[in-house]
Amino acid sequence: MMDVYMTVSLAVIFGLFAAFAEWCGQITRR
Amino acid sequence: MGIVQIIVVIAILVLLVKPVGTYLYYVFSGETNRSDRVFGGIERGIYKLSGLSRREEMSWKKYALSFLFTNITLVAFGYMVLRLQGSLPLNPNGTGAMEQSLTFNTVISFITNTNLQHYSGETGLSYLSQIVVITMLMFTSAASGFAVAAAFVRGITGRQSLGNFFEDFVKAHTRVFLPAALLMTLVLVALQVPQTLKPTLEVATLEGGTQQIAVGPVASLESIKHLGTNGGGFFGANSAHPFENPSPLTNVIEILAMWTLPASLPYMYGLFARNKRQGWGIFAAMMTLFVLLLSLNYYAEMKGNPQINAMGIDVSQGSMEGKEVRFGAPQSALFTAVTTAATTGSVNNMHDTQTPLGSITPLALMMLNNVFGGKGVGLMNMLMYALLAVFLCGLMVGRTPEFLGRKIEAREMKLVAVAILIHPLIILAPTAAAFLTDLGQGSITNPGYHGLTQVLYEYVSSAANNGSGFEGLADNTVFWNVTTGVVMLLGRYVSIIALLAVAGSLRKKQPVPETIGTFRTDNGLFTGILIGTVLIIGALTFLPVIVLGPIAEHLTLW
Repeated sequence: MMDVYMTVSLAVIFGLFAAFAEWCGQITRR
Repeated sequence: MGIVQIIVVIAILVLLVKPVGTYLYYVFSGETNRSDRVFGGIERGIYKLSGLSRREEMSWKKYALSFLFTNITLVAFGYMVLRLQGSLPLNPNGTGAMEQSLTFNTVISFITNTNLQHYSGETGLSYLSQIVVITMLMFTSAASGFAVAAAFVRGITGRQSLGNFFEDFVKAHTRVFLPAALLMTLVLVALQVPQTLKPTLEVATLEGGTQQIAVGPVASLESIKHLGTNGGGFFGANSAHPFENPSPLTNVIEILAMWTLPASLPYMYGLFARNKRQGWGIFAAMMTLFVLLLSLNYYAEMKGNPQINAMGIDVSQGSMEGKEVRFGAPQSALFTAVTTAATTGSVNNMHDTQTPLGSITPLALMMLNNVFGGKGVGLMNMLMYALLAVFLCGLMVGRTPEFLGRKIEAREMKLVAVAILIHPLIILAPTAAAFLTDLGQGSITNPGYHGLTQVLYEYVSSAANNGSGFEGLADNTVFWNVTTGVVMLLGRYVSIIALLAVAGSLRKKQPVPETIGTFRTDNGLFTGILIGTVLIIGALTFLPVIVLGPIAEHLTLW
């Protein structure tokens, strides 16, 4: 179960970084 | 004599900056050069095998997402191997699977170029894990950092595009890290560093007992550990271990290996900007800050600890607590300053037992995070401060700020502000949180001011992607593995993504012609302003916690 927590956490964090890149894109386009 | 040793190493570094910086420029500029004949065929083979025969120029966002996707793929591979190492080959010592939270911490640590090690290499990893996870990630994390730095420099110097991440990633391997690591491995083997797949040796001692001596593929890890500013040791004692760093000669080689590439990047940047003075200005700012902080460590360590000095111990060699006799205090001070400036994190002496004033040097270098800095990101961080310095000067004189002929506007400054402020945020907030919980407090082995510094150092090292530690902290717990893991990720990716966005934004702008009123960024005045900006931001954010930790501890001794 701990493996699931850890791997899902990693996937979510990297997903948040991709979302952050999208937000940065909106800043530069504005 | 100690100062002469330090000056000689710095002089060798300065001599290496121009040739290495020029080579890096030709690697990443795409201009035809002689290295194409040597490496071009190998690269074409790699591109063909990986389906990259047609490589398009990328927008900054595609570049950033390619970087992220490559990194998470490597993380997934590393996680699986570490969890399954007990049943995989090349495990002569029968090492079992790594615990889950420690695996989480370890793969993050190595993909972010941090190499914070909450395990001991001799007992925690199989040879397969040392080779295909640890050493592999040491190459790929360094190459990733170089690639994004090249893209950032292309953007702010107005090149036609930011390039292609995968091409930069491959070139960083084939033309920089693999050949350099191969050469350094052979040199280290010649200087008595082990390189073997034999299991741990059992030898008879002079007293008639037996002792186990860990060996393994050390030299191949040791080379990329420093060349890639990684820092994770094969052994728990890192470069203080005689098998990792057997002599003063290997010590100097390891210092130059971790310092030369980051120190050469400003020169590469000057060539991209078609104005070498731009590069030398950045280099001068970095070297000035470095010498200031190195001097503090050298002074404090040579003066020693008054309570130990009062015992009648010979103090002529300085404070030798936690240091190796074969290196002495001067070479330990230089190693400490270089490993935290270049954010390598390898250690040839124990930072936890340095004098309180001496420990300010590694802390401050990691807090600034732009004095040479890690592979690529150090240059990016210093150029980020250069953009801030230009912006502040523009505000003071009432002109629209420009950098390399491009206007710096609100959108760039918002992203620069995010990239600058994330660093103190992910250091100070978790440090405070650790003191509010029993999970954090329970790991402190030196209650009092030194305990505060232990906790602070752990998060500073994680945020700066350095990886060295005050090893008195009992940090292999779920709390520390998870919190430092998250800090390492934020410290690595937030600033890189934000700065790639800045580079993408600046690249699209029309250059404005230089006039007599243009604020120049290639002279001594700007270098001074840049140093001042770095120090003011650093002092405003970190001086209070430094006063609470090492300075308060210093005042209890003197």
